[in-house]
Amino acid sequence: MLAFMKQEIESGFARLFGAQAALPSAQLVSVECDITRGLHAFTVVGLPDKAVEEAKDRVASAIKNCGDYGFESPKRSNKKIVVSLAPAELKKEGAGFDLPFALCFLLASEQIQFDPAGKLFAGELTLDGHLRPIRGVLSIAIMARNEGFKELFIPHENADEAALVSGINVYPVSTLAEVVAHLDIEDDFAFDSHVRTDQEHKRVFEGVSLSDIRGQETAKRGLEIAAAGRHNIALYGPPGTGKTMLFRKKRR
Amino acid sequence: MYEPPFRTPHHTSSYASLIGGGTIPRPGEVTLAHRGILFLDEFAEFHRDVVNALREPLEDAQVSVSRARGSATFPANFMLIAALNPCPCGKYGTSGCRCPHTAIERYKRKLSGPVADRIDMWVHVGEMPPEALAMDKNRNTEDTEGERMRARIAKARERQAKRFSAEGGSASGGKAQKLTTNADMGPKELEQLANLSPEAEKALMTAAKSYKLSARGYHRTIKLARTIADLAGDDEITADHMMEALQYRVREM
Repeated sequence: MLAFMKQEIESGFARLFGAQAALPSAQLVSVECDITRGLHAFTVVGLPDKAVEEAKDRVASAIKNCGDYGFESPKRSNKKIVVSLAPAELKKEGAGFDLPFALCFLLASEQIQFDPAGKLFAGELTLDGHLRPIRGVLSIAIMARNEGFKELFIPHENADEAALVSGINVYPVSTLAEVVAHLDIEDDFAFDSHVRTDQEHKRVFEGVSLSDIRGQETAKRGLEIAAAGRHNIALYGPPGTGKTMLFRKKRR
Repeated sequence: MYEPPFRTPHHTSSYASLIGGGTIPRPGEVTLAHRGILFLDEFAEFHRDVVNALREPLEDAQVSVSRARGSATFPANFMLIAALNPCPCGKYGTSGCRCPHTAIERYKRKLSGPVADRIDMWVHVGEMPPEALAMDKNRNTEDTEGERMRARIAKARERQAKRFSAEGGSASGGKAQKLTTNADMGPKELEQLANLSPEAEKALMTAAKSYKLSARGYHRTIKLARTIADLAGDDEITADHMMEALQYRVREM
């Protein structure tokens, strides 16, 4: 535990990687944190939207409430802290940068130590240091794999989705304390990567059964053909004859 | 996550919500229905531009959205299911129809030719005689009919999968996706794999001339006949299969 050293840290720098989930493919974003001596300031640069700007408050509280580590929150220190999200011209949206943001600050302030190479982080933090699921994890996972990352740290709830992608280890994270324990070289706790999700097709049938529709044999035959070959189909007829009902039951 | 999507946007849906849009392009319903079903209830009530915007995704199985802040190409290989009334009051063709002639014309024009041409099957759902709806407590409510249908469809899908894996290929004509069903076939695969009998081809020729089928309609009819043959378990498309396919192609409305 390095927390006892915190008063002596005057300046520091760290860089690690996060991602902006965009469609159809995510973009790699490097998260940098620089701490220098000076009057207290805490700024985020790199076209953050409101949710990214607000990350400052979430991250500060999450760090303060992170287990028994007693980390110093960025709001308490009497230093100038700049967090930069690069590339600067890409608009950063959403709360997915909370996790890399928090870890980057902890790394820059030398409150934890780990090698960020080959690791990518994404996730929203709650004030008490838990992780909330984010959107677009699948595209982040694909991008991370293609960019040569080896490890992907994402919220627990998103693990199944991310694990659809092969060639990268997915670590489901529930709390900031957990990921800190896993990463920090001074702590030998480690958790396992997520098992790969099977791409099996689950069939769920609900609602109307075919026997509920009386007659309409041509329509049923038509639907059968359309379903077998995935052909486009239009049903027309007077109101109340069961067109909608026929389709509602159609699946696969 | 593992079930094919089934999307049912309401008929007031905007152009952007269906096709995709936004300052930074986001996918619309056609993309969310990728590899699944897009169900448009009250098809004729959709805005005209929305219906027309379906042209490209219906043909290319993908859609390009360009905006000031960037452009994106989204996959959109969906199966379209449309439900509609034949005229504003819905009773066209029966004595109960009270629509003025002009209203019917306007209604028909709205379902513009190019989009209608991309719909392979037009099926009429007629009115039910009241006797057929008579209450019957002892009626079998188990879905045996549905189970049988599902089995037949699964078998036809298997035949298709086998055929396409033998071909081993990706589709031509801009579809960089793997072929899974007959509807995915491009003209090249169609020529290789359709296996038309001479009688079927003749029937198609005659119909194409008398109904003035478009080139697209021509190809789409062969694909449909291929599926009907698959359901019947035949390797060759016979004249009967072709006649059934043609019958769906032609609209009386």
